[in-house]
Amino acid sequence: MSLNSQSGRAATGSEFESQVSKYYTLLYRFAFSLTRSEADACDLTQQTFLVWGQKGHQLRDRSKVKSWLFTTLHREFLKMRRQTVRFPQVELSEVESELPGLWPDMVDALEVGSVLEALSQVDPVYQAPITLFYLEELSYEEIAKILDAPIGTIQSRLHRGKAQLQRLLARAAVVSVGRGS
Amino acid sequence: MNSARAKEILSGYRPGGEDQTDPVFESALALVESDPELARWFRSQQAMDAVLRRKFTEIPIPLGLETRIRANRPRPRVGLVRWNAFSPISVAAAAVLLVGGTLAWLAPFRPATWVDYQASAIEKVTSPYVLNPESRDHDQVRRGLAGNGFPADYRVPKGLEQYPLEGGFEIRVRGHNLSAICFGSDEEHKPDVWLIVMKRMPLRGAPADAIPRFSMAGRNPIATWAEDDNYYILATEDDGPDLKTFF
Repeated sequence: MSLNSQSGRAATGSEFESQVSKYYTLLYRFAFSLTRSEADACDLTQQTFLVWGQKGHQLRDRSKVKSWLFTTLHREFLKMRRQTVRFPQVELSEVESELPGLWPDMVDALEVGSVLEALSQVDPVYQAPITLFYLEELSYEEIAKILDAPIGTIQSRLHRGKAQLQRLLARAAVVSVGRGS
Repeated sequence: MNSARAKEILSGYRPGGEDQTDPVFESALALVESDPELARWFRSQQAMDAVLRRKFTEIPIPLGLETRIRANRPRPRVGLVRWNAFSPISVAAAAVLLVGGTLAWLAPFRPATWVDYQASAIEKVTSPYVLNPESRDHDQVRRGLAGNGFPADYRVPKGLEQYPLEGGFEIRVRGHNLSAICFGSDEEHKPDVWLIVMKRMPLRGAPADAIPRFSMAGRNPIATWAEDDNYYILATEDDGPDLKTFF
């Protein structure tokens, strides 16, 4: 990476500010979906912009800022996860094509926290594709680049991950109904 | 395409955007038209996706996060300092400047070592620079550097030949010409790697042979060696690739 020889300058303060305004909510939501911790998500978002402030000037193609930020956040998350104990996973069958007795209004009745709790129990390899899919900000190609995997692999992970998530949401919905909420 | 494959593809379909015209989805969407069971499944998935999409946008953003991010922006290294001539800090700073100034004045009389050149070169490549020439072609880079009297007869380590070339630029250290050959790619997520080339000369601590020695220069991993008429430094970012893989 080098400075764009046409602009020949580092990222300015105003450019930094404008990228923060534009992307910090999306990045935070991505981080929170991955970590389910407000503190960790804040740290990851701040760290991402810190790296942007230090190295952003090296990005030649300014149209790729969004993708660059998501890639950096995901890398920082992977670094963070390597340093922490992996949380236990719930055993689930790989693919289930049908919704397991789950209806949209059942999910709608769940709190965001319950949805993210279910997401956290999905196999980790599927969590980032699912989140990036639902945040709806990135194309398949961009998601594949961020996660450093071919598009076909992303499709497959998304399919399997969504099936796992829906099974977990069905359980959460049953528990929720059982509690009378 | 069968129904199972169509479901896999359609799991990633997002209505109302680019996906509608994306050829990836074309065949699967066509199958939905002719397969009632698949159409039912697709409708239920779309309804569920709509709810979940909304849930993700409901994740609350902590108050003050934006302000904290802005406050943490790395500042330029050079700034204005308010000077109070008689504060203890000023006196200490003046003493440091005096000692530093004396050392700087004496510096030309101290023979430069390899480490001096190495540190200056690493500082130059890790600071903002402009490629000149900017090219993916080594011949063009060599011509550009040689034209201005900078080392151009460099040899690229075997493992680095496949790493994307970006170009080169010129470095001046203590009156000597050094060339920096830059590798890396934003598009391919390849972190920066720099090959720094310098003509051999008598220098204490300089590499003696063609066997690369791996070490750290501050936060940057480096490899150094000497070959033919040149000294070489291969450096990368702190989170760059393992340099050993290039040899």
